[in-house]
Amino acid sequence: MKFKYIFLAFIGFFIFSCGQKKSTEGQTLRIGVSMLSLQNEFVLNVSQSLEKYAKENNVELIVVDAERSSLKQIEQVENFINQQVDAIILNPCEFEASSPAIIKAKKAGIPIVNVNSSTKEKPDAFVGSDDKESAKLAIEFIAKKLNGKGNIVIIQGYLGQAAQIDRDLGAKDALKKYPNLKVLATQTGEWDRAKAMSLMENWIQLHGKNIQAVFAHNDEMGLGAAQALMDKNLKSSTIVVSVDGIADARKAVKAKKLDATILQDAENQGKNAIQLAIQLAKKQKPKNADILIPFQVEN
Amino acid sequence: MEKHRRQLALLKNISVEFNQISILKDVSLEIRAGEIHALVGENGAGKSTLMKTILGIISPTHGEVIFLDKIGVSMVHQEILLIPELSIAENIFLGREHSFGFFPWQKDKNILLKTIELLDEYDIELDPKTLVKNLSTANQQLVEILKAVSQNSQLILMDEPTSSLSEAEVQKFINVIQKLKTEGVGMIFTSHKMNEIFSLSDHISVLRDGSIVSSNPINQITEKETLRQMVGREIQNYFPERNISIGSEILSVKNLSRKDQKFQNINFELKKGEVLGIAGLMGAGRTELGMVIGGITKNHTGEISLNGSKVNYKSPKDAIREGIGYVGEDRKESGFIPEFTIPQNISLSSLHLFQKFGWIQKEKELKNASSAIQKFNIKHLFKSQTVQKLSGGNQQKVVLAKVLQNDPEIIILDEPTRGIDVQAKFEIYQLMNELLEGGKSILLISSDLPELIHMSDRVLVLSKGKQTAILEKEQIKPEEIIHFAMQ
Amino acid sequence: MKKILQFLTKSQFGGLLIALILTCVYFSSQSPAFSTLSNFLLIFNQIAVNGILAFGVTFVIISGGIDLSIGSILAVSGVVAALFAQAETGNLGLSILLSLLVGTLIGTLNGLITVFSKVPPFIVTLGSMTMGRGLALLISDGKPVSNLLDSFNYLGNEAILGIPISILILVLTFFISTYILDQSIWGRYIKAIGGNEFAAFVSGISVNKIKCLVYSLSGLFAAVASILLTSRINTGQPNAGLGFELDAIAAVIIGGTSTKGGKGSMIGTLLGVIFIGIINNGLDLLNVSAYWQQLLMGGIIILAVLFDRIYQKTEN
Repeated sequence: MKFKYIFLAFIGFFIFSCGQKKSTEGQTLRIGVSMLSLQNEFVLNVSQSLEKYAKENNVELIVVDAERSSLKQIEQVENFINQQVDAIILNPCEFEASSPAIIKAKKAGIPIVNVNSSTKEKPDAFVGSDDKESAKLAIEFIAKKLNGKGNIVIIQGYLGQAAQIDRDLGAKDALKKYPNLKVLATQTGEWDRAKAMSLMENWIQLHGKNIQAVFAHNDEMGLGAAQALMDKNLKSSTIVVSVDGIADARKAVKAKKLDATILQDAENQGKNAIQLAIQLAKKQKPKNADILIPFQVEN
Repeated sequence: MEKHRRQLALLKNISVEFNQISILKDVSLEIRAGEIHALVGENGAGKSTLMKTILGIISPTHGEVIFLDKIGVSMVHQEILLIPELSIAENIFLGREHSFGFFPWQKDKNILLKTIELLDEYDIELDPKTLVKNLSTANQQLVEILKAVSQNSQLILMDEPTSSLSEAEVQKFINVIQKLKTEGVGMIFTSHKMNEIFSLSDHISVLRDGSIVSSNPINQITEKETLRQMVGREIQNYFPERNISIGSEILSVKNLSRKDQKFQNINFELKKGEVLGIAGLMGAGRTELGMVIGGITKNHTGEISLNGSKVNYKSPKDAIREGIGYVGEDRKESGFIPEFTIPQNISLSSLHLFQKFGWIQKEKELKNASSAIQKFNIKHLFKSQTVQKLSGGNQQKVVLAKVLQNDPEIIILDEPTRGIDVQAKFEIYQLMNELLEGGKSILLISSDLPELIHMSDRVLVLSKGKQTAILEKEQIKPEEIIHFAMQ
Repeated sequence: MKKILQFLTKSQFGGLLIALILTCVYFSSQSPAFSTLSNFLLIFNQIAVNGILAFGVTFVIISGGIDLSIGSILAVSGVVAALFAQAETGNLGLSILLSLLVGTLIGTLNGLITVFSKVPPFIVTLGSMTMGRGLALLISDGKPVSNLLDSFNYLGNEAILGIPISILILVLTFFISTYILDQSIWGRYIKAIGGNEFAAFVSGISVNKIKCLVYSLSGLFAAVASILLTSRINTGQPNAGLGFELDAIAAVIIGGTSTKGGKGSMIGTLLGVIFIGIINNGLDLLNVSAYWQQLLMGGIIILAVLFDRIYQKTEN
């Protein structure tokens, strides 16, 4: 009896599976974009830049939010492949876990460009910034301000994400030059402002006035840490530096609530990603398939 | 006398159809103020539908209900529809609190006062602040009636109002009813208890297969004739003849006590082919005793022996394995799975007989059920009907069929014919006799005195948890039972 | 045709099937990419994880309980599988076995605590949901566990005779679940307990044993799903499965299983899972913004359940 139901369900699907081939949309290129999380301001900035330059170049953009899930991201790329888009721009959730998406795209012969963050599996092109550089700039800023001596805490990004991995490496490297800068603690705030704030509050409980500087892997977390310090009236004696350069952070720097933000050029990342994607879609070989856009310190 | 009673309502040629099945056919009745009107009929005759039509929640397909005055009509159902976590007062005035004042404390005080007034008026000694969940079924019943009264209903419909009441509690109910009568309230009630009907009502209407067979003042018809009209044929007796020789001892209970003192120091033996009735008022511990012997609860001290050897079962599963069958007093609560079909319910205790490596042999199960359905005369509309849709009598038969699948030696029956129509009752008594002829034994817990008296070989009487007597056949009389039950 | 219409209106899934077909019609009219075989295979591939989770929790819900910890069990089992399937030192068989064992164990614990402490399953599994999450983070040191055996990654990503392995596993799980629920005595006992636990007890059913069993099953199925998931993303993620329990339970409810227990079927759950999968897929194809997708999904679930309930009421 129950087989009737299953049978019917499959019939239903096959009715629709029969025949309908996708129509080719004419001349406009279609690019699928999967972003790590549109609830993250920096990622949103990149996404907006992508849309701006897609419009300028008369390219149809399909933007989806992976909501921080690698599984969802892979499925989104599978959907793009199925829709036979001309190119895919990927803002990876995780270094390892998002790699299958790259493999699938390459297998299907659809060019795929990574923006902002990298994966283990290498894509056809990459636009981003050298995250190691951003950490280096941050540590050097802190070192200058503290005259090379003091205690630091580091708030990391989501563990496993390329930016976190590289910023950790960059920081470690830079710290070698400053033996009197001590790292009291390192923990992940998962790119999240609220989590970073809780983390900072706990560290304040533990270490009190012994923290001279905070390096947060991104602005959201930096702002969270700064808030926690302000609540305990410790901001004036602690330096907070973070990476990204989102609007909120730049405002905070002007208002002296944040000491410095390492600007990541979302605009340029987006612009270059679109250009690379278009070139690859048109089967052209880009001059430079590995673009690194430099950071800037804003304080 | 009757002609002087004011007419409250008239039912004119009422017909009710559902899905092309006729439930009521051309029913015409007169309903008068201050009159206790009994509506009798077998299960499925249409009593419930008729009452719902009078209440107004079912619209007749043909005909009409005419109210000669603007009167309030309320219904008191067989299942209590009160809110257990609220008090008597809160329940009675549920939904009508706004007319008692603006501030919450005002409302509470006034509602309480009004409730006390009501309780006094009907001579009911209860604290209006008592939570309904802490009341006995009988008192909950009274609260339901008070609720109807408080709504100034001129007509109160009652569905099996005394089915869960013991003899003593019925008296209280009768007092309230009599008072309502003097106030000119009209009452229609359904019941299966003939002696009650005939001692209480003024008027009696018989419903059979959706039609009114007769409607007469109570003194113009006999019990026997009423029964005949209900069933459509002569009924010689309520109880089938029995002639069984009693065998050797099968069950022995020594010093059985429940740890929470619901009953203490029970001692008796049960023989093959024998029915031991267990009598007592509500709360005497009868059901608790049945549950302990049936293996349902396990909080007792003392000895239970089967065939001479002590048994110690830890669960119903164990008890069933030892040969005990148990039918609880509330079939809805403990008897069947509502959404299961008849075959599925019948096989529930004996699935090991219908399976192979865990796979249920459904054809075998169905075949077995078919023969049980035939044997017990379980009436149903279609094959895959769920048991919750069957009438009470048929539901009980399903439960019995299930219990008997395991061929138990001793069967414990707790209120086996509660809320069941005459025909089905008779069939169940016949079934009991058949079992006894086969050498089985029965423990019959019942608050239905005629049933107890006619069906038991001996009767054990409980009063407040203590065993007050074991009556032998000749001693089993209503006065004796009541006497020992009230000690 | 008439027979199909007749079947649709008489069956208890009529409402859901109609909703399903209407949705398919809508999506295929809006996006040519929807109604293709490859998309159809894609949908089934993508519902595999949720589907297996949903089958497992169907048992629990039919028995009258609930299991909120399946997402966390997914995470723990996934991490365990990954830890034992490392590229250099791992063993495929061992990693799968241990993963299944861990999932079943946690599930059994859920069952034992529920049965013997008398604490409502909602609370018990809420607790194990949190503890399980912590356990996953603990044994993975907070980091995703990658670098897995090729043979392990094969499971979630490759196909046999053109049919993705994940779909094969989904179908196999479905048939096993249906067998247990509809054909075996344990399924009968589960339904009986959900329908009227006390009556089931009085009838001689080992209620405690069966109640434990359903939670063990739920844990086992969550582990199976975790192997599939871990394989698909090539990583044992301690944060995997967040919120998955809601999707799974939603699918079960949409499929007609009552939260009260006693009534339900695996086919209903499968239809529910397919329904949610189609909507996710369709909304993605239509390029609906993520924010709207969440809103719509919630609304559609409510509508689907309403539709189904009304349909059932009129049938009665």
